[in-house]
Amino acid sequence: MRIMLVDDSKTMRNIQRNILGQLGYSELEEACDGQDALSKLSAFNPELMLVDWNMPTMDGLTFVKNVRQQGIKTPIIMVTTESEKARVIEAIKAGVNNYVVKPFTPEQLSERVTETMAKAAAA
Amino acid sequence: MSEASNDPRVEIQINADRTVASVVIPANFDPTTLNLALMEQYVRDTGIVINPDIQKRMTEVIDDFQAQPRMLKAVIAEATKAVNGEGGRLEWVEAYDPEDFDAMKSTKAEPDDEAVNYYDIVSYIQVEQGAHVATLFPPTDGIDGLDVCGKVICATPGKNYDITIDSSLDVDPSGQVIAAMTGVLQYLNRTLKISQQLEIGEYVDFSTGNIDFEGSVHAKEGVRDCFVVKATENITIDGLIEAATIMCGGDFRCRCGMAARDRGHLIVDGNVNTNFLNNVRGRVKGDLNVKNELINCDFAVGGDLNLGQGSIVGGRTIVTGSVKIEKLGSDQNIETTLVLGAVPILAARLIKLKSIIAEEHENLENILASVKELKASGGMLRPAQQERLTELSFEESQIRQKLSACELKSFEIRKEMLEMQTLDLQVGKIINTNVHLIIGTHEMVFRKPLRGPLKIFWNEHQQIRYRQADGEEQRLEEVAEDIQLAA
Repeated sequence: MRIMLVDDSKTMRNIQRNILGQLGYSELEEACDGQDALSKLSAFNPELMLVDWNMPTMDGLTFVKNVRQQGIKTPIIMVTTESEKARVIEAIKAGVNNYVVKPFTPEQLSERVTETMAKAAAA
Repeated sequence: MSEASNDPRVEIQINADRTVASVVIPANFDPTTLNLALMEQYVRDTGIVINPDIQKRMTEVIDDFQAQPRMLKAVIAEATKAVNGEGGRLEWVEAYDPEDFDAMKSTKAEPDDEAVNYYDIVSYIQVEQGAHVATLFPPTDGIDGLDVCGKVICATPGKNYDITIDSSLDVDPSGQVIAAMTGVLQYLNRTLKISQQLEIGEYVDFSTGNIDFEGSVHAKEGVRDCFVVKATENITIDGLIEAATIMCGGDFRCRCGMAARDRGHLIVDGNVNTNFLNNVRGRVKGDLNVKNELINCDFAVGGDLNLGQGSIVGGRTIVTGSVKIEKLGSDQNIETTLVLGAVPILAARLIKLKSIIAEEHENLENILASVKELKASGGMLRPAQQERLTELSFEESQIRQKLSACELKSFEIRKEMLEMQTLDLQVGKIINTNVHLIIGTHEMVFRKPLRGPLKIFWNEHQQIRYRQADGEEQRLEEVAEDIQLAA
């Protein structure tokens, strides 16, 4: 499965890459912000995206809105330090399918990914 | 005379092999009667095939004669010579030419290095599978010629190459000779082959350099001090090995022995067969079969140790399997240590794993301390702190996974060690004074000789026992001092 990791922190992308690798996902693409992700979207055509909120150039929320405006229905998991309820609701309204708050454990991220993919498959 | 002068004739001469034809016009020939049609008639009468070139030459001769009548002889026709074929030949790709092979150029030193390491010269041509080593050019047929009368002069075809290409090389349709396997390129008696056994007809010394070969090595002489012979498969050395290093992935056989003066190393993944080992350090994963002595060696044996007629004198020998020996120690009471029931190779792996586990536990403690410190800072964590906590959580998870794998591996190794542990020492003649037998946590020191034939073993309660000839089973402590070692 093709998964795009959008985070300005290389360390965080490496962590996600490793966790997803352990789940058996190896076809991964990385982007360092929303703008970078948009430029890689059509070529990579991801089946899942893990998106950070706070990033330079284009933040995660703007990126999600942009993607949904284009009619792209790829499941998106927001992986962020933004844990306030209002922010979570804002993200879900923008089109996010699931939400992981940092700090997270590898097990928590794995669960969210599996859960999101199961829901997407059932839809 | 007058008749001859009244009837001069143009003469056409053809040499014996019909490669050249000439016209001879006498001086008294009437130039006004000489023309091309007449000349052609003379020429045609001799059987020469007239072509435009001959016509041109005849015209020139006529013009010359008419300009200055005299006795004139001129070549008017020449044969087209046959071009003989070229013989078949083999052209080497530069790096593989055995006649041009320069061992010094093959040193592993950097080209700019002024100092050449003579140990690193390479005296054989190693080829990798798929390498293009030479090109075969087939013989050519040549081109036939024609004599002045139009008959074919046959060209001699080139001779075929008398080179045999062994099946270890392929020849593609374009003549490229390609290595079908990795090995040493050999060109002997006009036969080209790749051998997976490197034959060294002399000592391994400065003339050969160190040997590092993918395959088997056979040295017909010995190995000099400080040289290294390394092979992925078997090594056979016919002569004496000095303080050298021998490493092989298969079996090692030395028809003489190794006198290493404390600086030689022997690392063998298969079995070892030799006459003697003197001052050698190393290990063999399989069995060690020594015909005579094992003197002052520091050696680990993963299989059985068989010195049927021989002895161990001095040093420390660790053996996993059974031991058959004639004499243990010496009459001069030289301290000789034999460690039995040990699995040195697995034990070394276990020690390494223990060290990794200890290190990872320390890393884990540091991570947990950092997590505690971050959480103890109170209040809402800043985004950077939250990301740091995620990193720490990931690192913790990685370490726990690694620890779990290491602990499982340790358990498997311990289990395997228990299964492999054997105590089976058979001594033909004598265990001498000052022999130390280390068995588990017991160091049994022989303060006086014990005569053979005898056998030392564990009884069903894992107690160390010995039996002389057909005598009764006895406690080894009765004949040797039992020093308890730390577990």
